[in-house]
Amino acid sequence: MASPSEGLPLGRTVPPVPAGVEIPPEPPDVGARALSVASRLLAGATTFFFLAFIFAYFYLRSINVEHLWRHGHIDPNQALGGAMIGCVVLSAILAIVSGRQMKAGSRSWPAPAAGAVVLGLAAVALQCIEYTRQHFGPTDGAYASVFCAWTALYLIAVLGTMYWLETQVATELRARREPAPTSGDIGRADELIAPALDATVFYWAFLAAIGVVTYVVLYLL
Amino acid sequence: MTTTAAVPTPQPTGRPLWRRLIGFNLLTAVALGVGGYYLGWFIGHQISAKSLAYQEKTSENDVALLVAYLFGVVGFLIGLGFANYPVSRLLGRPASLREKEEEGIGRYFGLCTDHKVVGMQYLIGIGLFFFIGGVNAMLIRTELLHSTPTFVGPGQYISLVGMHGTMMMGMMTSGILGPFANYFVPIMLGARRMAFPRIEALTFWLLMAAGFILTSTIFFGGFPTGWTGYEPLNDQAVMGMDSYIIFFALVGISMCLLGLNMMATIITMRAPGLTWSRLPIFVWSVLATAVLMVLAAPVLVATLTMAALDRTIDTSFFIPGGGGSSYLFENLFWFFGHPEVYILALPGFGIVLELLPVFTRKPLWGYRLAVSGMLGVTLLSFFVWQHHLFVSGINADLRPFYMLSTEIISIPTGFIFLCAMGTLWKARSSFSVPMLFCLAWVFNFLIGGLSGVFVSDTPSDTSTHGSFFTMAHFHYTIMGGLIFTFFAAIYYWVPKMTGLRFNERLAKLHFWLMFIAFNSTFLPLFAIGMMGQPRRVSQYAPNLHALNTWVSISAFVLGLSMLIFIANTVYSMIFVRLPVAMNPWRSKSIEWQIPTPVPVYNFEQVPVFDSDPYDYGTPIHVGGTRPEPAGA
Amino acid sequence: MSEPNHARRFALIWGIASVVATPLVIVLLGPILPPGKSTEQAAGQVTDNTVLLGMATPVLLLVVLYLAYSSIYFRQPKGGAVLEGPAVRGDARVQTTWIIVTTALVLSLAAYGTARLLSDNGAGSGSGPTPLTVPKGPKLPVQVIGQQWAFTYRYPTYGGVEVPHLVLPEGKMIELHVTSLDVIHSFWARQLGVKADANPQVDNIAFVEPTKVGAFEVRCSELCGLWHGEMFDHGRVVTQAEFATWIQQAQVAYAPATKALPPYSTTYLPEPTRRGG
Ligand code: HEM
Ligand SMILES: [Cu+2]
Ligand SMILES: [Cu+2]
Repeated sequence: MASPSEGLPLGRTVPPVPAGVEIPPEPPDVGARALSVASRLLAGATTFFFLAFIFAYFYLRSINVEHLWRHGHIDPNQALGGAMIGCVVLSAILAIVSGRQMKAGSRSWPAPAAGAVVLGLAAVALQCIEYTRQHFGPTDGAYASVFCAWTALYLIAVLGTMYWLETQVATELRARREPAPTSGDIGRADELIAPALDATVFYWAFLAAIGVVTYVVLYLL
Repeated sequence: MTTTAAVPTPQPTGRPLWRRLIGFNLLTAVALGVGGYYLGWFIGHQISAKSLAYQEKTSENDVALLVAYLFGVVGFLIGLGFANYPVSRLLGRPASLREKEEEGIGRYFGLCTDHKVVGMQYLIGIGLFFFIGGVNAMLIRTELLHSTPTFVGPGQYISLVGMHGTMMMGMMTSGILGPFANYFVPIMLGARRMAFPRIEALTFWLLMAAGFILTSTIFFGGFPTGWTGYEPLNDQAVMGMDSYIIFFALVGISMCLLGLNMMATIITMRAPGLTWSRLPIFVWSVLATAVLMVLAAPVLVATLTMAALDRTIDTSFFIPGGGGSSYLFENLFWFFGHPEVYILALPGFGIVLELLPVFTRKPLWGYRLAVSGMLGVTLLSFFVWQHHLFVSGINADLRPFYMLSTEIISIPTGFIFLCAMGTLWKARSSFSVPMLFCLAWVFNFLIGGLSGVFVSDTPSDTSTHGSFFTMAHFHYTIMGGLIFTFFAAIYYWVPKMTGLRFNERLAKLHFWLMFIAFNSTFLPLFAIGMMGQPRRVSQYAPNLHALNTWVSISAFVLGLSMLIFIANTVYSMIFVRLPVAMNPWRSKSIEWQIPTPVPVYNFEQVPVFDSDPYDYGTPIHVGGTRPEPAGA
Repeated sequence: MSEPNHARRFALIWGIASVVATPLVIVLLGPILPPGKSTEQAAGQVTDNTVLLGMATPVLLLVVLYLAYSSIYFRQPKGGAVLEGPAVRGDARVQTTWIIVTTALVLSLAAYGTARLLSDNGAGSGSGPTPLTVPKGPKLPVQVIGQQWAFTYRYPTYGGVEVPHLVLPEGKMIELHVTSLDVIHSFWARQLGVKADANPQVDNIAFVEPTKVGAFEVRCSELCGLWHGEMFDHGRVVTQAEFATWIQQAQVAYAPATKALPPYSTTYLPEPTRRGG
C-alpha cells in the first residue's frame, strides 16, 4: 500500500518571518567554536605536512644510498640551534601563560603574548643566522637537503603563527583604545578575541612541540 | 546585534564606469598578477644569476619561473582584495566575516564571501577547466587513431596526457565539494554561511590561478611525467614541470583549506535538532572527503616543495646520485595519491545516496551502514598506498599487507552498494535525469570496483599495472563514479541555484549518449590493456589498431555528449529561461523548502530539525519487510 | 495485495544466471586470458585471472540484474498521483549477511593472492633486492639495465657480456636483476608475465621460468621521458643448446665492448648529469 504524496507537507517547512521583524543572530558561540575546531584541524594538517619531512629523514637515512646520507663535516651549529629552539619553547610557554591570564580575567595578558611574538621572531632570526654560519649547503647530500628544507619551512610556519598571535594583541590593544565596535555580520567583535587567542595559543603550543621534534631529529639524532 | 530581513546595502547608483573599474576586482587582480609575474621573473633571474646552477642551464631558469609564478599568484590575490583583511587585522581592526562586496552580477567576478556565489563561481570555473581537460582527452584519442605518432610528436603527446590527467585530478578534486558542498552544505545544516567565508573565497581563486598556471605549461615546453610527476624524470624535465609543481601545490593548499572550512562548518554550525544521525548523507560524504583533504593534501604540498627544491637549489631528496631516492617520491606521492582518489570518489557516494531516496520515494536504506562505509573508506585509504607500487620493488615483503588492506577497502565500499540497492528495493522509482545518472553510477562503479579486484591482486597486477587496463579501471571509477554523479548533481541542483530548468529532452539525450559512449570507450580498454598497450605511449602494436579506432570514435561521441550538455545549458539557462517549480523533485531536503533564489541569509529564522530528510514513504508493512527505527 | 514474492523471484533469476554464466566465463574466457602460458609465471597469472573472473561474474550479475529488475518492477505508475514507497529504513539481517559474505569473499581473495604470490616466487613481478621467496635449484642471473631509451642485458655468469636483445634458455629458472641508469623505467615482457620497475640505485629481482620456445615483446611501461613510447624490442626464448652456442658467440662478438664496461655490479651510480633529455 502506498499513498500519494500530493498534499502532504513536505518535510520541514521554514515559516516566513513577517516584515520588519528582527532576525536573531546566529548563536554567539558559533564563531568561537569554529575557531577552536579550525585550530585543531590546522594542527592536524601541519602534522601531516612535517610528517613528510620526518619520513624523508628516516627513509633516506635508513637506505643511505652510496653512503651519501651525511658526510662527516656536515654538522649544524649546535649553539645557535639550541638557542633557536629555546626561543621557540620559551615563546610557547609565554603564550600559554598569556592564555591562562586571559581566562583568569586578568587584563595584563597582552604583555606575555607580545613577549611570545618577540621571542618567536628571535627564533626565526637565529635560524637565519645559522644558515649563514653553517659549513654546508643544501647540495651536500641527503641530510643537508632535509635539514635545509625542513628548518626553512618550519620557520615559515613560525612566522605565520607569530602573525596570528600579533593580531590578537593588536586587536585587544585597539579594542581598549576604541570602545567595542560592532560589525555588521559577526555580532560583538570583541567577544571573539578570547576564543581567537585560545585557538592561537593552542596552535602555537602544538607547533612548538613539532619544533622540539625537529630539533631532536635534526640536531641530536 | 541583529540583522533585519534581507539587508541589501543600497546600490551605489550613478558611479561612473571608470570609478568602478578602480579598486579591488578581477581587473586589478589580473594586472597585479601579470605585474607580479614579471617582477618575480626579474627577481628570480637576479637570485639565480649568482649561482653555479644557472651557468649550466642556459635557457632554463626554474628559479625565475617558480618565483614568477608565486609572485603572480600573490599579486593576483592582492588585486582581488585578499590582503586587505589580513593587513587590517595586523593593525588590530576587529574581526569580521564579510568583505564589502559588489552588488549584482559583479559579485560573481571577484572576492565574494557569500557561499552561494562561491558555489556558482566554482561550478563555472571548474566547468571551464573540465572542458580544457576534456579537449586534451579528445586530442589524445585523435593521436591514438594511429599506431605510430602522426598527429602530434611524442613529447607533445606525453604533455597532453600529463595535462589531461593533472587537470582532471587537480581540478575535479573540488568538482563536487567546490560547487555543491559550498552551496548546499550550509543550507542543509540550517546555517547562514560557511565557518570561514573568506577562506572559502580564497580556495576558489587559488584554484583558478592554479588552473591557469597549469595551462601555461604549454609555453614552457610541457612536462613529461604524467600526473604522477615521478622523480628523477621530474628533476630532469624542462621548465614546464614547474607549472605542474606550482599547480599541484596550489591545488593542495586550496584543497586543504576547503576541507578545513567544510569540517569546521559541519562540526560547529548545525542548526538545533540536527544531530549527527539526522545529517543528510551528502553532508557525511563531504565530511569524510574533508578529512582526507585536510590530512592528505599537506603531504602533497610538502612533496612538491621537495621536488621544487631539487630542481632549483639542487637539494637531493629524490636524486640517487646525491643520496636521495626515487622511492621516497613514490612513497610520499602515493601517500597523498591514494586518499586523493577517494577524495574524488566519496562525494559521488554521497550524491547517489542523497538522490536515490528522492526518486524512489523511499527513505535511505541503511543510513548507519552508509555512514560507516564512508568513514571506513576514509580511514582505510591511508593504509593502502603501496598498492600502486607492486612491481616497483619497493618494500616487496609488505605486498601481502597492502593486498589485504586494499581488498578490505572494498568492504566499506560494498556498504554503499548495499544501501543503494536497498533503497531501490520495492521503490516507486521515477527515472528523471538525475536518477538516471545515479543508476549509471551503480553500474560504472561496479565495473570500476571489480576491475579494482584485479589490479589489487599482485600476480594479476603484474600484467595489468601501467597498462590501459589500469587506465580503464580508474576512468570507470573517476569518470564513471565522479563525473556521472557530478552531472547528477548538476541536473538536480542547478535548477535550485539558478531558478531555471533544463530542457528534459536534451538532458535525456545527453545522458544516454554519455552512458553508452562512455562504456563503449572504456570497456574495450580493459582488453587493449591486457593485450599489451602501456599507458602514456603513442606507439602501440599494429594488431590493436582496430580496437583503438573504435575507442577513439566512441570517445568523440562522448565528447559530443558533452557538447550537447553545453548546448542544453546555454539554451535553457540563457535563452529559454523557464522558471523551475518550487520543489520539482518533491524532495524533503531542506534546500528545496526555502525560496528560490535563496535569500542572502538563507533562512529568516534558524530552522529546527526534527528528523533526517528521508521521511519518504508510508510507514506500512509491505511484503513482509520489517520497518525499523531511524537509521537501523 | 497480490504482489509476487520479489525476493524469491530475484534470487532465482540471479542464481540461475550465475550458475549458467560463471562456468561459461571460466571455460570460454579462461584459456584465452592474457598473458598466455609461455612461462610458469604467465600461466600462474592466467590461473589467477581466471579465478578472479570467476568470482567477479556472480557479483557483476547480482548488481546488474538487480538494477534491471528494480527498474522494471519498482517504478512509479504512469500518470496520476505520485506514489510513495514503503518506509523501510534497513534490515539488520540483510546487512549482517552482506557484511559477513563480503568480508569472507575479500579475505579469501587476499589470502589467495598472497598464496599465489608466494608460491610462485613473486609471480613474475619485481620483488625488490631481497625477495621474500627464492626458488630452489640453479638459476641463471640476467641483468636488465634500463636507460633512456633502451634496455640492455648483462649475463654476469658469462663474463658480464652486455647484449642489446634478451635471449633466454627454455626450462631454466631465470633471475632477472632489473636496474636503471637514469630515471625509472619498467621492464615489461608481456608473454613472459614479467614486470619489474627499473629504478636507479635499486636491484629489483624477478623470477621467471620460460617453458616455451618463441619470441616475446619487451616494452617499457613506466613513463621515462620523450621516447618512452619507442622503448620496445623483442626477445627470444631458445632451447638450452641454442642458448649455449648463442652466448658463446655473443661473448666473442662483444668482447671489446665488455672490456670497456664497468665491472658487473647490482647497481651503477649514474653520472651526475641533470637535464638529460
Ligand atoms: C572525456 C572523457 C575522457 C577521455 C576520452 C579520456 C581519455 C584518456 C586517455 C586516452 C588517457 C590515457 C592516455 C595514455 O595513457 O596514453 C587518459 C589518461 C588519464 N585520464 Fe582521462 N579521459 C577522459 C576523462 C577523464 C576524467 C573525467 C578524469 C578524471 C577526473 C580523467 C583522468 C585521467 C587521468 C588521471 C589520466 C592519467 C594521466 C597520466 O597517465 O598521467 N580522465 N584519459
Ligand atoms: Cu591507490
Ligand atoms: Cu619508459
